[in-house]
Amino acid sequence: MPSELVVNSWNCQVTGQEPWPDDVQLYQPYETEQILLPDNANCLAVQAFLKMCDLKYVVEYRTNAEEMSPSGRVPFIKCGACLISDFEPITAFVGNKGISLSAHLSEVQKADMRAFMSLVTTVFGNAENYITWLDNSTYCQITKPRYGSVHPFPLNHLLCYLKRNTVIKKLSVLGWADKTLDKVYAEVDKGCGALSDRLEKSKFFFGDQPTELDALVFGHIYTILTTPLPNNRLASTIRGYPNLINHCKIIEKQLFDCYGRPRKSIGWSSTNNN
Amino acid sequence: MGAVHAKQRGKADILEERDRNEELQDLNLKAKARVDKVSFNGIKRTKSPLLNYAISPLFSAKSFEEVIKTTHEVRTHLNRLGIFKKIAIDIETSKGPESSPYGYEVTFHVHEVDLMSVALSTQLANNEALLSVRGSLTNVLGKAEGLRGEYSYGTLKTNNMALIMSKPFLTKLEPVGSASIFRNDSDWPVSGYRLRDTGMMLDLALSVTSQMRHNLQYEVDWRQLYPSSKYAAFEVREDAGHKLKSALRHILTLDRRDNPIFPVSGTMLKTTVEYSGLGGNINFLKGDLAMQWNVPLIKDVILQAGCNVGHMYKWDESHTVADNFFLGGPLDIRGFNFRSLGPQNDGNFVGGSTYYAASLHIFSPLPFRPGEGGFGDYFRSHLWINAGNCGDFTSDKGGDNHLETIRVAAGIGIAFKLGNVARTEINYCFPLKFLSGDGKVSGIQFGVGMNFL
Repeated sequence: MPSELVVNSWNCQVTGQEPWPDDVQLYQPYETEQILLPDNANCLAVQAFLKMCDLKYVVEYRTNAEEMSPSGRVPFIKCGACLISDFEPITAFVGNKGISLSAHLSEVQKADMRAFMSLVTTVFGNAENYITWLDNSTYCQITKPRYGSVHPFPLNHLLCYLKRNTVIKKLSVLGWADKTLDKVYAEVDKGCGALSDRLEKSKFFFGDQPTELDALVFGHIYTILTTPLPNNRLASTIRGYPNLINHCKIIEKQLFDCYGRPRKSIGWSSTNNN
Repeated sequence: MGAVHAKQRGKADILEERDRNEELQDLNLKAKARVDKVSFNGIKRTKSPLLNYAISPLFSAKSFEEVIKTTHEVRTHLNRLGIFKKIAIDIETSKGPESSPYGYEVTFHVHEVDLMSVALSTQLANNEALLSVRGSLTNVLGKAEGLRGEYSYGTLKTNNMALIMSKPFLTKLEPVGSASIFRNDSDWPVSGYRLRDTGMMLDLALSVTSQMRHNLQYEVDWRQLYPSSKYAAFEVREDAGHKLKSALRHILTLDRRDNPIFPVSGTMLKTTVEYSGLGGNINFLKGDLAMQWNVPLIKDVILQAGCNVGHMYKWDESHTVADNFFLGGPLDIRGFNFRSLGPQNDGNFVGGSTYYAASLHIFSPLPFRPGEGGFGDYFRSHLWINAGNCGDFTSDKGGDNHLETIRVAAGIGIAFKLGNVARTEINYCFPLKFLSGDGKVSGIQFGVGMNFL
């Protein structure tokens, strides 16, 4: 196994040095009837990142995107023979091609950015998973029908139950499964507070050009704000921070038009090392 | 009706002796006869309705010949139920106040199979060594019901688990119903996927004659398919995930061979028709046909011809790579590795919707007959040639020329009988026609299995 991993990362580095091909595909579950809050946030973050880098991609919707993914998580991109899943590996892969949104930052700023990214992934990611799978009303009204929609009876019930167990196990390892809903909202509030303090009145987190952190924050906040849930306390918690909402609106306006169709990126060009 | 007596009598050696004596009866076969009384010795758990049903044909026998013949049939039937270890028969003229002038008494001396048994065994199947644990409860309620649990662990990540419940019904065609739940794990790196099947199956077996059997099956199978590695073809990866297969199957087996492993004469025909799509989300109709002819040429040299054909109709994209037909390997097209011929995608053999394969063998005992009449009888040498092809032979995929891409291999080898169920072959193969991407084997190839082409 270790040798395989070494060979594989080497392979992706070799192909990574080639320019970005035209036929890159991004695989994710169906948006209207299937995708769940945490997956949607991750998919949107990756899409926003690729658009910020002005990289071409085509979104492919698959009911089994989760199982197709090499890591079991969505989204993943297919670039030639390489399959890369998750936000950070994708940014690293794009970075290998000499394209980076954070190349102009100082080392201190980069470390700051990484710390904030890990905060977003931990707080928002876990809170989204908690509400999707552990909050009973959301689980029954939203998660179960949506997750099961692509499977025939009795797999729809069985697979949903198994996935729920997996998520609960993961959250309990991270110490989130025992939290109450109020505690989860409090964590989100705290996270938003930290982000809001960092953002202050500026357009983006680091200067006037977006970075990976902006893409990640946009993915989570936009999804939380636009996903209808039985209880909208998560969205209202975020609405308490107008500068975060504004940040989200700026990115939405520049990257996606109101119908969700991609728009040619304007205003920024990605920093290219070459 | 026959009375059932449960007497404590009969040791194994007595039974064997009676067995032999039975064949030595020398009487006027055409003489008028009737059976007055049938009794059983050694019954512990078996209930009388089952025995009454099994022996009922005996009372319609009119001559002594018929008595003997029906007795034999009854014995075959009892053997098939699998609840007796040994069955010996006594036929005597009936005595006593209730006897009729031409009356006979038939006594079955039986040894029942133990209620509970556990076995640990190693076996070889499809070129993989398996360790299996098997536990069974036989004849639990006295009507030949069985409950069997099996677990086998293979060297190539094949894991099988099954719990099978079966029960014969006392009507015409000797139906045997069985229900099983199973979980099978298999790994096919050559095709780029791993598969876990979890499900249940209902089976109804009907014996029209002792050589002809119908099986009606219904199967629900939850399939989890995963790419076997990061390098699996993307086409295979696209089939990853969970699917539910709900299928009806009919199997007809017509086996007129004198021995399933090394037949001398006779033919075998097996057809399978499978319809998947009763609920679930895998739809197809699949037909499979296997035939074999055995012709003795001179003395103990046998010519064997075999032929397998299969086709799958698919009308949507719901099927996965695991539903396809695959060809190649020591059990069908010798001279090629398992599944290593036919359509390929990124280095994975993905199978096709049609396949055909044929073989011709000349079997003979080992040269110079070492160990004749004993150990040597477990061996045969054979000279063979086999050919076949697999793919999607539709005109739009350029499949019209499938005869031009037919794979052929010939060779010579030794076959060895393992028990009475499996066969091992060691062959020296000469692939004669192949394509450059095929996984051909020129040289020694080893194969273990139950059904060889």
